[in-house]
Amino acid sequence: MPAVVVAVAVFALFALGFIYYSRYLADKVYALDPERTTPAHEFADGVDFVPTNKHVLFGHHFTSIAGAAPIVGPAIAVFWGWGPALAWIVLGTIFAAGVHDFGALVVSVRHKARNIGTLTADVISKRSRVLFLCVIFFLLTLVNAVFAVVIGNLFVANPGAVIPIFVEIPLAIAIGQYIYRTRSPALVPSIVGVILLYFLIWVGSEVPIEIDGLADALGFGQTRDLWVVIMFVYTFIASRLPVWLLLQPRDYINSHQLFIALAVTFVGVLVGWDTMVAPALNDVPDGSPSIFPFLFITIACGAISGFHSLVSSGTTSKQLANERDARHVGYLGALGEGSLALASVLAVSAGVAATRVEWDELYATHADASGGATGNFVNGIAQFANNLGVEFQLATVFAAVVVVSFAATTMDTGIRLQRYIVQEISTMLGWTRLARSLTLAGLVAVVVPLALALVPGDGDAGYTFGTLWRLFGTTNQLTAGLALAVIAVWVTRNRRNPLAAVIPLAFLLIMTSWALFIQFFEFIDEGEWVLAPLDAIIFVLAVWLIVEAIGAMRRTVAERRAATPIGDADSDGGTGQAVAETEQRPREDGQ
Amino acid sequence: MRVLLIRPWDMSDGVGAGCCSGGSAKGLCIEPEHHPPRGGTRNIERTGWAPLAEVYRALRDGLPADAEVEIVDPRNHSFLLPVLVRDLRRRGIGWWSALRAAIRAPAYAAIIVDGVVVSSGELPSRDEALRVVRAAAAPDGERV
Repeated sequence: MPAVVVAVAVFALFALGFIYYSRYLADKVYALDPERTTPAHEFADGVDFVPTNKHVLFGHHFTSIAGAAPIVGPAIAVFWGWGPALAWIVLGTIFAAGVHDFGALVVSVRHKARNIGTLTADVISKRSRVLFLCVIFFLLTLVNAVFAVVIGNLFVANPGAVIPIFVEIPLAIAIGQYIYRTRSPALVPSIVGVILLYFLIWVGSEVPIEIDGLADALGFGQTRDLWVVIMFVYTFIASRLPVWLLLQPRDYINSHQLFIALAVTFVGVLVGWDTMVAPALNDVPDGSPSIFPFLFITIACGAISGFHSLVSSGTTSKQLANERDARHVGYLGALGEGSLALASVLAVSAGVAATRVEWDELYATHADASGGATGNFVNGIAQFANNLGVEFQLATVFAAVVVVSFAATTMDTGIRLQRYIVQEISTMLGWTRLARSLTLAGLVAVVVPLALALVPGDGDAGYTFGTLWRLFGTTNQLTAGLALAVIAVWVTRNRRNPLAAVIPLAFLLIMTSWALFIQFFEFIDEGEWVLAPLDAIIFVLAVWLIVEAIGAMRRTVAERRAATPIGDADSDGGTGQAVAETEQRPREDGQ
Repeated sequence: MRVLLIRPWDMSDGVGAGCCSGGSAKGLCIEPEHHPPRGGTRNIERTGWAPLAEVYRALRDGLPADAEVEIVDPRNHSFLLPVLVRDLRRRGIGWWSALRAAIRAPAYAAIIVDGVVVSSGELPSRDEALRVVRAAAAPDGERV
């Protein structure tokens, strides 16, 4: 089947989801009220709270949530065939991510634009705030570990990417300084930055950097591990720099790369008319992880990402000018993220044929699929670029640079946020020295994921990465579960039908717990004494979340019943529209 | 009338990668102001953002109610370019000139009225901002 047909079909489904399902959510579930004053107006200070046009806000929101994670998960999950992977991406984006991103924005707006961590305490229970911080701590630990491994693997497989990536750092700083000192517009200098970066790609492909000898001399079992250490040293330093010095100017360059990569993918698919060489449903070898539950934790971002709730409730909700705009910003942002996941599936199912290697060989086992996922994505995107006339080897380095640029930004921000979390937890525990010391908190933020990236797996890259990725997926889904629990309780409290949030919540919690349960015994059998306790801790957090969510829902339903006069309940068929809105508003404000 | 106030680079803590690690302390922490977006070295503290807020409030309060006043991040090209080109085309400017002007417009702290830059390079005082915007909005609007 031509890949372009698949792409058009997915976009058509996304369009239907936006037109019909998001309207249902807006009208029946979240009951958006265009007359209600939003926090952006109520607290307008011109700094954080700024009423903003929905088109402006969508640009801010989408560039804030776009990242590398929707690339990796789908590239692994095609192991089960592109059909199940795309089905989960489409259904997850429309019925889970859309509900989650949109809902987190609405609930935050109805609670004075509080962030999702604070809302968990307000809406579910006080102790849920601790649960939230623990889940985020493990999520960030795994994010930083897996992306360090992704970068290490890509540097080993594509040594031509080393020069562009490391020269991009001073290049971004120089461009930033130029923009800041001359106070000129960012567009032209940042495009010049992209052009220089692509020139460096040519330099890099001519002068590949391999550090195998150095890794051997330093006693590293694998070259990848030395790259992992280098990346953590770099991120520790980078996270101490002001965001405007390196992170923001590099994001100027990255935002162009994002749109270039998407354009290369979809125009390349159209021009090259590549066909899907991967099977729609793959007959996986015996002993492989089963589709249920592992597909649903392998593709986390791209189907649903808990981190979006942090962006929705952290910055976007403070700028929403009108409640009705939440649909445009929140739901459409989720669809944009789903489009990135679609690009990944197309790359590894159609574009990867250019490697001249049989697809069955690339995806022979789950370990092969995991270890080679990003490499397959890179080769697939390179094929799409090749369709547009770019020489294949150069196109390969281009695609590797795109992935590593995003992954490096992810690590930069991840270490920075982990430091905040370490400080927040330390404050709660009364560890004032750790809470106040940027260096100590930064060291904790770096050392824990570094150990996780290096210690387990006995040096087997494919095994280690696949396992870490699955643990990342489970914690990511737990974060999304927390936000969905907040949304479900809030919707129930407002006498609306909560099924739109409860169904994806229940599905995610079942898949997550099931996967953690299976993996725990696998780790025990394999003697993985780092991963087994980690899995157990995350499992306990999942159970804790289930208990909290059920408890909060039961309390809410009981309160609802107590407040409903006999005979009035569900008089409107369960949508709750019969209930006077004015009775609900004080509670919606979180009072 | 559409007034765009380009957010100065040192009055923003937003970065990308929010899919799996992005966002800022605002999304995570109980008191995000305790976690400025910095390392331990030189940093632009959030108290330095007050002048932007003052100019923004002055424009919101001092202009007619139907005036759209927006603070826009300079990286938000997907919004800025089409809107600026459209506003400039409405003034009868040719496509190529409109595109070139739109690319040049979002400079540091620029104030843009219906596509025309009336101030850039540094934030004016609140009174000065209001004066230049009102002057640009007048029938024979001036370019400052």
